[in-house]
Amino acid sequence: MMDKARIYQKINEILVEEFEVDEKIISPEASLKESLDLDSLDYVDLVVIIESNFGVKLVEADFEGVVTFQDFYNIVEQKMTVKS
Amino acid sequence: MISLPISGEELLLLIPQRAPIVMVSTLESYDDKRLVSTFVVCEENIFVNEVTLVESGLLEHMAQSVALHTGYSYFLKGENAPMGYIGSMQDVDIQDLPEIGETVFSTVTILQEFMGVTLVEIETKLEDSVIARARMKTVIAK
Repeated sequence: MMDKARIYQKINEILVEEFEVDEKIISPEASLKESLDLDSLDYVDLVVIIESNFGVKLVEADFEGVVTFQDFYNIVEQKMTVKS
Repeated sequence: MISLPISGEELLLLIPQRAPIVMVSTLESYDDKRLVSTFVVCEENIFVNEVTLVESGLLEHMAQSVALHTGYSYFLKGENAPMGYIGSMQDVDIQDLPEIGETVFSTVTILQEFMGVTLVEIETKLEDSVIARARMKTVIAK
């Protein structure tokens, strides 16, 4: 099981690559949707890359409380904890 | 219950498209994650240029194969085929194009479904050769 810092770092790396954004715009308190300019089609990509990189499947309900990157990190981390 | 393979008028129950823009000929096999369709290239098809199906026609066939998966899944639930649209196409790779009289086989694989968006991978074969691949995101119209 990866530690939190490594999980966050890896999430940031794959988000930068997938959504072609500057890593500087990613911070825990920043808006995930606005920073990555996500539209409804992009969320399916987000689900795919998280599943392929972390082996956990996000569902629609997981995103209900997600606003910031930190919220998103928490969801992935929780899913990984449940899995392990 | 319609038994597989499905073609003709029964096939039209499963897709919203109508002539002259019907680009699937049969539904060969289906499960919730995969479908195989065929398309026979006819001389009168509007996407045929001289003797060859043009790229846009092949992509339309691939997209309609995805619609067929959705339509058949709705049919199994006792519902009508929904209207939908292509949200995006990516990783499109067309190596060859079929000619009049040839039959292509397309395999649709559902990769992910999320918030009403379906991500699929489509592989199209002519005889035993893969002639096209693409990923599409499709959205059902509300």
